[in-house]
Amino acid sequence: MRVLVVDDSKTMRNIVKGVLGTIGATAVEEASDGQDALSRVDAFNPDLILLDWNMPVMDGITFVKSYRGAKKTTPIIMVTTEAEKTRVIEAIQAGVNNYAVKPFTPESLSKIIETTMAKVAAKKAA
Amino acid sequence: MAATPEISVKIAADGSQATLVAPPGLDAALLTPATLLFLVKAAGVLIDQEVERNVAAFAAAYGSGATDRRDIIARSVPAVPGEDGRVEWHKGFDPRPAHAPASAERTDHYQGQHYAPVKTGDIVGMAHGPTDGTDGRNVRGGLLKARPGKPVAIKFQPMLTIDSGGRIIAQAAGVLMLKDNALSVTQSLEVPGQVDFSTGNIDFPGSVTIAGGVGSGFKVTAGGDIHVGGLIEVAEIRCGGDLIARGGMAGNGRGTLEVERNVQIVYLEKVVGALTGDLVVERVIADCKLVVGGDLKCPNGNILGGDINVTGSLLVKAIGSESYTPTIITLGEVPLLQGARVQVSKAIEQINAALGRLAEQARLIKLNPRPSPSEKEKLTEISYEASQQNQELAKWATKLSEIEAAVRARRKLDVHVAKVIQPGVKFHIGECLVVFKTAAKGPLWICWDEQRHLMYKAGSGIARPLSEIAHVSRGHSAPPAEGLVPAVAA
Repeated sequence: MRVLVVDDSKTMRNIVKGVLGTIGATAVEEASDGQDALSRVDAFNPDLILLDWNMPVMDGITFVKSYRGAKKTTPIIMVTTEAEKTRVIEAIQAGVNNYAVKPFTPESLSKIIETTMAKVAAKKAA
Repeated sequence: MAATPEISVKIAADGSQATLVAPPGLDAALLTPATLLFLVKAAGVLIDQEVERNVAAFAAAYGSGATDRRDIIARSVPAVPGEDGRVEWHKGFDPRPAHAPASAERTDHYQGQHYAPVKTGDIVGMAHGPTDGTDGRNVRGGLLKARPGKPVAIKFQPMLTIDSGGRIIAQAAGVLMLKDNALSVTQSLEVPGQVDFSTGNIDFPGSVTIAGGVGSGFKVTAGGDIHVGGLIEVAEIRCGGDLIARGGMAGNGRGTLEVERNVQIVYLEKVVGALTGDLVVERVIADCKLVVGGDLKCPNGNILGGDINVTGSLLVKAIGSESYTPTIITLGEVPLLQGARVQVSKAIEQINAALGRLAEQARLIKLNPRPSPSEKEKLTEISYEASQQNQELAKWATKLSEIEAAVRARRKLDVHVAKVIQPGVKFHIGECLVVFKTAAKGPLWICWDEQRHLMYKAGSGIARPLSEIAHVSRGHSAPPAEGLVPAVAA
């Protein structure tokens, strides 16, 4: 599984990479903001995008709108401190597949990733 | 043209040079280079460009003929002998003995030879064959044969081959040995005499056989077994296999043994050491500090003084002396695992301390009912770190369980004393301290009963509490044994 991790915090990217290592991700690319992610995503062609909301240059929600606007269907999980209901709804409406709220444990993030990928696979099969 | 008989060409007997001689008073008009060359050629000298130049110079120099002239006009070309064959050793494989000084200022006279280990397939060097040399010629053009170079002086034993490119390839694993011009791969080293200043320290990856003894101050290290024919003095002996000594070891409190397997020796006196396997001593163990990972057998000898830690059985003729020589024997533990257990326990303690600090950090952040985004990120970091630490903890806990199971499986109490346990002898057995205040006559067998009470049997009698023949007290754990502590990795 190829994963693009987008977060302005190097520490958070390392934590997420660590979790991805335990669930068998084969390749992980990093981006530090939405703009950086847009420049890498086509070349890297990920199976999953893990995306923070609050980032400089281009935030997560703007990335989602731009990415989905280009008709890209790669699953996106928003991994963020933003937990308010309105924010969650906004993210889902923009096109994210799932939502993980910080603080999370490695186990809970693994579970969210696995659940999301299983749903996407089931949908494709149907 | 008429020959001029007074002009002569003298050729050296060995053909190495030709001299043209012309007396004074000859008609210079007749002494042309052409005439002279005719004469030189007629004399049998091979004419080449140099001879032509020399003859022309002779003619010009003769001039009016006022004086005689005698010049060498031709020289032989000497043969160039061929180069002898040689071996160019690759780095790290030169087997030639070298006692290189440790530094420019000091020479370490204890330093011994370096032995180059090889694996099958290693290319240890290049064999360069001899060259033929270049033939020469004398002034008549005759051949001066060049002496060809001699082949490589080294004889290569079957475990070394040379391919078509000259590469010398090891066909077996071991150590490269050059002895009496024969190159071989050996798994064992033989020292025909003593280990002393003539040999330096020995550090050999295979087995070592020493015909003599080991001198004071020297170190013998072997990856395999060590056999010693003579006395081992105040030396350091380290071996990955067995130590078998036909003499004893007199360590004077500084001689040391570290043996990965068994030791068989005549006596040990004032030696500090540890071995993983069994210790078999013929005569006496006197004033030694030893950790024995297996059984200690000295059926015809005594343990006299010192501090001995035995994991397995103890079989000895007598312990201690009538003059109350303090002798401490620790039994019923597995000293070689004790160190590992301590290390693992420390690691677990450190991880628990780290988890405690992480928990405290998280607790402080959570005191705030509305943590900021950065605090939430910090909590995520703490959670991740704690997860990592818990995984480490689980590994160490498993390791500790394995060690404790090994200790339970291996520890035993099985002491056979054929003759006597003298007063002044102390046994540390688990948490018990057993002190013999009077002599206990053998044959004695000391063991645990099923409830782990300390018992003894005298001769073929029934088992009785050990407290009947010695003072037994509880709550005295033996100090941790020093010695071989295997590296522990989770």
